[in-house]
Amino acid sequence: MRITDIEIKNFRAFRGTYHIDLSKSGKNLIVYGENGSGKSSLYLALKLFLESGLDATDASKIDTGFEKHQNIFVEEPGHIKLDFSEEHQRIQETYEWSENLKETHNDLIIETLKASGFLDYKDLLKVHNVEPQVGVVNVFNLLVETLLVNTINYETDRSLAEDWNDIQEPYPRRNAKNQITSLENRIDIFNIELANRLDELSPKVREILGKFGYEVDLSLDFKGITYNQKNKTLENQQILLNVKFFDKDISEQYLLLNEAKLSAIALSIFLSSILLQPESDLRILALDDVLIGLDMSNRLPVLDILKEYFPDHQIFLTTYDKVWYEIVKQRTEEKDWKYAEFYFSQTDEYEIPVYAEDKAYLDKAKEYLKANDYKACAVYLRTAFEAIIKRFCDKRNLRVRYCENPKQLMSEDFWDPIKTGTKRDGTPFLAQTLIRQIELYRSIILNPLNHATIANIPKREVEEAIDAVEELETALVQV
Amino acid sequence: MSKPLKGFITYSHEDAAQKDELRKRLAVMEHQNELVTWDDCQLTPGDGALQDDILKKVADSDLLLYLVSAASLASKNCNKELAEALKEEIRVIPIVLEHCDWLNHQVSGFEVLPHKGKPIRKWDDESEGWQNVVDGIREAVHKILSESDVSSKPSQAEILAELLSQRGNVLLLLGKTEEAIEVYSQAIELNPHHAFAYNNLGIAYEKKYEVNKALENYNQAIRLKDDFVEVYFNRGTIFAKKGEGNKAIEDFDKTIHLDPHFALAYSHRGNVYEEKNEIERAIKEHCKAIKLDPKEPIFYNNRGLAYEKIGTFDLAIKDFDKALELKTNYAIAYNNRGAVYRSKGKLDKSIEDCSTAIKLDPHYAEPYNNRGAAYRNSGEIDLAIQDYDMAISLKLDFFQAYYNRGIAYHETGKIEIAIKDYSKAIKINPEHAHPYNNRGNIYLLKGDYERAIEDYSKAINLNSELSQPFYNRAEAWLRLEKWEKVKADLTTAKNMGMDIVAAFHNTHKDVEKYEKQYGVKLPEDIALLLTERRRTRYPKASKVLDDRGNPLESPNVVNLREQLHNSGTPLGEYIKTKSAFGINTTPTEVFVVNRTTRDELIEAHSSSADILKPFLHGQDLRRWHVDTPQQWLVFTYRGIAINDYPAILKYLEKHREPLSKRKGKQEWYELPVSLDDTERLDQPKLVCPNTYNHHTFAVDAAGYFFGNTSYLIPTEEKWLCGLLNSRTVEWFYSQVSNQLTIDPLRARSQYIQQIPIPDLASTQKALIAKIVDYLIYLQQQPTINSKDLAHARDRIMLGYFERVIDGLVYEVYLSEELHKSDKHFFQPLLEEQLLLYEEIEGDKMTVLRDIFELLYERTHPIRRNLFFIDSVKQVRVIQGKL
Repeated sequence: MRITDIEIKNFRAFRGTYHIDLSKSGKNLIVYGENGSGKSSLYLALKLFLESGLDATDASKIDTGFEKHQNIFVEEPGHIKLDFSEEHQRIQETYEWSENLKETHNDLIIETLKASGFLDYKDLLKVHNVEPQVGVVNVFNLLVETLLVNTINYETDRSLAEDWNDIQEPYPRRNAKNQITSLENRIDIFNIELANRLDELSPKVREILGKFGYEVDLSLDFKGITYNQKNKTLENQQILLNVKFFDKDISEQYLLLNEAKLSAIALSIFLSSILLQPESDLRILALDDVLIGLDMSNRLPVLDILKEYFPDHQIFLTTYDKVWYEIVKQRTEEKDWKYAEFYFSQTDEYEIPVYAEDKAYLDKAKEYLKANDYKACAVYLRTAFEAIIKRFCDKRNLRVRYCENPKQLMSEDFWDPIKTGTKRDGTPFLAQTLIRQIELYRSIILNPLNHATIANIPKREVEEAIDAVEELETALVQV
Repeated sequence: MSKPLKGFITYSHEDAAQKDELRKRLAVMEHQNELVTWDDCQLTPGDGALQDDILKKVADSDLLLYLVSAASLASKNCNKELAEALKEEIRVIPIVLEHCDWLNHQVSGFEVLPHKGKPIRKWDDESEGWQNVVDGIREAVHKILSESDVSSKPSQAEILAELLSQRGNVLLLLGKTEEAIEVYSQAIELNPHHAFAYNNLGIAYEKKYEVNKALENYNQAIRLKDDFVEVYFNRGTIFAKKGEGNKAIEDFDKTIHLDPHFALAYSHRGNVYEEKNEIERAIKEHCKAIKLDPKEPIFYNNRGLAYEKIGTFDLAIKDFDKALELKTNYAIAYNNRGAVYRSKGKLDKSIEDCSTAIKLDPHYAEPYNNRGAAYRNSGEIDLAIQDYDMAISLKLDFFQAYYNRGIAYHETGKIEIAIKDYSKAIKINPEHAHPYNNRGNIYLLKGDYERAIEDYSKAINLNSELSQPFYNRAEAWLRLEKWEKVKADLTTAKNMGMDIVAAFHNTHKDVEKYEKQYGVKLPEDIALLLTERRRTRYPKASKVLDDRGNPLESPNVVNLREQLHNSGTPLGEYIKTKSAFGINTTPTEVFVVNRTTRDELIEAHSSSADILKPFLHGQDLRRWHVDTPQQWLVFTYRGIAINDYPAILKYLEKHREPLSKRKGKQEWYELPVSLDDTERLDQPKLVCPNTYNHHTFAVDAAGYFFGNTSYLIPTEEKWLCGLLNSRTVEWFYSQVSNQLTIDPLRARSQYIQQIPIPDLASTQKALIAKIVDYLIYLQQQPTINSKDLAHARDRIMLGYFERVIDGLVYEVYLSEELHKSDKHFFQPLLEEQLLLYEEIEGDKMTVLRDIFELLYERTHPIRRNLFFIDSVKQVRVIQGKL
């Protein structure tokens, strides 16, 4: 089962109707978007849509819950509509959630919610709150309140977070014997569930951390909450993260647990916890800007992990990092993924997100050429060129100049190895004529553009530049 | 010899047999040449001019014999004939065939036959009734014949007055009320002693809803003729309508005094008592009416309504059944029965009855309203609103329908329309508290606190017995941060028995969340009022009131409760031996002894061992397994030969004083139980403590003795223990025992007996029993009882097996719902062919751990189905999530 179409109207940042076609097969989606461009609204649309299925709608709660998320600039009621269909089957079901209609009370959606994982950058930011002390890191709150939210305690039919909330203060009066016993029972049940869950998690977390390249011996030590009636406090609110990097000295450990590594660990815990749940027909994994907290070196493994461990999940990634977005595009296959971009546009008096169907850049360049907008045309042409050469370098594992921040890599850095590179038989990748063609139009294609130069470009030259890039694309594909 | 008088018989064709009977009985008068009769049968049918011919015939007659029945009163032709007769000043003699509404019809202005209008059908011997009619007609004929030649005539004015009065009757009949009033008034002017005219004028004013004028005229009629039975009755009915119950009763008393057989008067008096909430008395009246006239459907209908009021729904339904048996097209009774079915939760039947009522009388507004309410209860809000629309279109000032529609819109979040409906209901009946409360809730939601408070205050003024408006007003004050007022209202609501903690919890979760949301810090005393720690149950009682003024219950809850109710034999019937609490052992410190004392007593005399029984208190109980007792009961049953147990006697002697102070018939050394009582103690049984947070039944196969803090169900069926400890049964029990607000729950025999025991296949029972056995074993294991987190997995195992039983029980009660969502427990478990506990060889713990790991595996259907079980709506209701 997959989501094959998303329609969002007047929901949060989305003003008007937006349509994301995940094509018949229900692809994964990665969205690039500037800040404020609505990508988090998309994440929330999915999350809240699913959550609405479990909302109680009895008389005491008289709304469908949608009102709170209505776009504040428009009165016209909004909605979220999702199409679901079984893989390779034509049957398609549409469910709507809006102010007046809530079709989400059904098995499919409720089960999807329970088996899915949603994590956003704010969740992961909480690793900042985890102050590594010498040798120990307490991840109790991070786990109970964030990473393990989906964990259901069979004893209480509730999530761990709800159980935790239930044993918080105010605490019973000193002589309220029954209440104290009752509290202690709850704490006991909570302890048992959490302890068991951590036991189940540890091996999986270790395994996934290994994929990040961290050969570690990790343990999550939880001694159990105890209630101190005298001080009225809950003690031992601790899950100690003990990590041993095999190749490092123990005394240096806390230094090694920098934010990036903690983020990787947190993500591993989160992913493991999802992997331990039973599976529903449709499973969603949505990560909203989550990878931002990771080093670039740690982001690539995530793609491998997703591919290996979550092949049957429908994955939704969002990012504001264009470079990362491009990398994901290159590293993933188009048959599985849909690439989408949200821009931020100032039309009328409001800011609205603009969703650009990620058509081939070359096509876009041609479109703008037709419209005689050479500036825009050149922007896309250059983007197309960059995409082509980056993808090629990546595929061929061509040696590119090392750069700490990949953003600083220039087109030249990719173009040079291609220009000079040779095939196994020693012949160059590209014919000299083609290379010359490209270099001829380098002012258009390679150099950062400025207004003045563009204005002077004759249409003819731009047309020829397009032809050159197109030819390059064909040539590189043949290589 | 003079010519015979011509009599025309007006009748409905439904009464053709009666007409023939009458003609037969008038044959003698015909032979004697006193009277010849006509009816429309003697005219050629099919003729276009028929109607006129008939009327000509009428005009040519001296006498109109009007066969009164519901059918003829409703017949246009009959009424035309009557009108023609009145126009031609022809003497009319109504002959009452059956009970019907003739008292409110123009014919009531004439002297009716048989005597006092006792319907022919109600005479024990109908021929006696007919004879009474014939006598009456003969008398009238003679009078007319004599009048025509004797001069003792009434004055001209009196005759004219009579004529006018009759004309008035016609006009009234034709619906020309205004003109009728004018004509009656003229008649009265001519003959101020015309009591009948006053009565009829009263009826006319009543038609115009000019109640006071009607009253004046009835009063005058009574002044003129103080034994005028019908007027007393009419006036009583008016008083009743005006809500002046005592005056109404006085008039009905008078009516009944004058005519003790006036059945309808009893019935109406009953209705007044009902209004006064003296239901028992009302029922007595209705019974009298029924005794006088057991064939009158109205009386059954009225008694049914009274039964409904005191909640004896089955008797009510019986009465409506009877009414409908007597009158198959009785729309009102269908409607009323539909309403009772709704109260009983039988929504399908309710809808069916209301639909029948609508079919019988499409202009009858009430059944639309009732059906709407039934649709609402079954969750079909759209259909409900459609019905309310219809009810309102038929009855523009239909308070209840506006109010109900308001609720329906309110529930579905269409609050603006809901406000309009509530306001309209308030306009129609400003004396009703409920719509104020509900409208207040919407204002509260919209943040219009002043208006909300105004509405709640109004609701409180109108009905001080409602707790919800107090609580709701407290919420409004809370937003306005008027702490003193918050506290006062909360305290009032709480003292009235409202579960304010749950109410607050349902909207805001807890004080902390509230403070976060509204950015405010509640004063400590208020926070305390709204907090009750360690609650396990927060009933989902709504602050919106329903059509009967009760908190609006979610259809989900109502339907599920009913569904469970109907899904098995009540435990009380299922278990043959009586279930009851254990032995009252007060003073316990005397009768219950520890091991040391026990050993000493046996040491002192060996006979002591016979009456020292292993004993447990309710609070010693845990789920599933009964631990071996560490205490013993000195079982000195009533009638014991105490001297055979010298050591015991000596022991008890030391406590003689407190023992003697006990009430009851037992000797000072005896327990208040007889030896027979041991029977239910000795045998295998299920036991549970009298208070508990979660259902805590355990299997006692050994036949221990228990104190009265435990409830005992004698049975050997272990699977029942699984059923009783399940979440489904716990939910049902907390629902039916009205203990939603009580935490912990208490065992109450009458409710435990109601728990429905479904009909299971023996393999299913065996499967549940098998897991109960596992649990009994597990409950005894040290690792399970350890708090050491190293054994967390074993504890998880215990809980998981309990959930497996929950799953099985869900499937038992809600099989259709679970299967629709493809959730099965029995089948995958049966396929695993789990070992019986007794069959497990070697280390049972190891084997059970393996079984657990197998079923806990995340791809196992049991684990999967348990994980996703709350996608079934009913399960969410049970889990308190809906």
